[in-house]
Amino acid sequence: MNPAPSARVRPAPSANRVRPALPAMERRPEARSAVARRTIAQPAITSAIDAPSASVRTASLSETTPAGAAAPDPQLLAPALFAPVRPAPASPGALPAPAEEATSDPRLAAAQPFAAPLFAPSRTAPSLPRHLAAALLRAARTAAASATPLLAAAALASGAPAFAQDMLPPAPFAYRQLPDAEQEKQARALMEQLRCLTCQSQSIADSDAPMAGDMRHQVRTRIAAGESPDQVRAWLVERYGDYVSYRPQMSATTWPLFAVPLLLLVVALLILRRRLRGAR
Amino acid sequence: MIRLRVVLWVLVALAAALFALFALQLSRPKDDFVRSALIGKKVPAFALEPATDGRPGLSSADLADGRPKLLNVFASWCVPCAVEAPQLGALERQGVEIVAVAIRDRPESVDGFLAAYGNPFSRIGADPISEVQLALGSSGVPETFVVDGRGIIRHQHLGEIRDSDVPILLEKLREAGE
Repeated sequence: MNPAPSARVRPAPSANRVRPALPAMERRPEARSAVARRTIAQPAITSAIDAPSASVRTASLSETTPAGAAAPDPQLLAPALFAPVRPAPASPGALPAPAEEATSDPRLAAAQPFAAPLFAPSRTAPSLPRHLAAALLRAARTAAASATPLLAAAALASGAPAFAQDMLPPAPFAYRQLPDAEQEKQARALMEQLRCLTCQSQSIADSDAPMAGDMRHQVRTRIAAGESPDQVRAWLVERYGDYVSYRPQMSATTWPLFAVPLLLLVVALLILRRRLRGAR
Repeated sequence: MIRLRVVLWVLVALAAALFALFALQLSRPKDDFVRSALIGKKVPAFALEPATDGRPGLSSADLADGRPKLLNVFASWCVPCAVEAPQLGALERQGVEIVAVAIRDRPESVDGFLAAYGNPFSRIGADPISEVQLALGSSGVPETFVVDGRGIIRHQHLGEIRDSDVPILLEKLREAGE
């Protein structure tokens, strides 16, 4: 299969609603273009994708308090969200029974020995994280299960041209190293600090997107032509802004990021000094 | 004592402000688009071979011939590019000159695409390794640049052109022609 090219679609208002349900898939270029293809597939599919993800979200909330929940064992199950922090003698009837799925899910059950000492001061104290984790995991599972076939259907519905995409070979230096080992090392280090524009959480060194290959070709040929890595980076920043580089730059907009921690350190030292003096 | 209370309220206010900021940013839809930083600057020098037999190739000199025009970055394999074809056709019928760069494409694919969706372009350059796309600061297809008569990029439209975008582009072209 060809890696998906950099086709893009302006997110329709509904697209934003689909995304939260598919955080992991969304980063994969194939998944993204499957979403992209959706614009061609008719609005019916859009709403079909939206509907389950919306209902999943509400469902996951209501599922945390199952109607016919068995009386929870106070020693094992977490009390409700708003239970008192101090270990209270549990009255199972009074509290909504929350985390039934927490113990029924083996993965969560396995996580409990770790979760308990971390988050719960005592065995009966509320373990909110566990409660939330159960709900989130469940939501994610249902979302993935319901959305995946729909996305696949959307991709299929858009037809053959989508699969005949981008048959040009990669740029010459997309996958070929430079003959000069020193230059290749420089290029490699730079590629790891440059953002892939179509798969935005990856570097161009990590990505198989065609555009990332074309960017690697630019980096390698420019370094082979004698440019320094900083010049190549500057060339890209000139075109795409700071966002294209992962290396933080001090600039008119970013200096507070560097200044605030120093400022806080100074304030902390001043307070500490005053306290120590006061103690004497 | 009063001072302490004021300090505590200030802390509460700071925390509230922080959470308000989180709420605001989280409620905004995520913008995945990487915009070109070349708006207001000259189109970088380039010269591309024709992408199809039907139209000449494209060079940066063609973009500085005195008339404002649209520079469309497209590809035959790009589905949203087919979606925007009617809108490009409408722009062309209104007298807009549109030139194009075809990204990572073969002549026969371009021909097929143009036969299927219409050809509003006066020139089409072939960019088989996204060289010009990267030089333009374009981060995907389709994208459309408004370039004025001196070859200066005045506006970048990301994603497909929809009906509602046509008047915006016409307005930007008018501004570029002034």
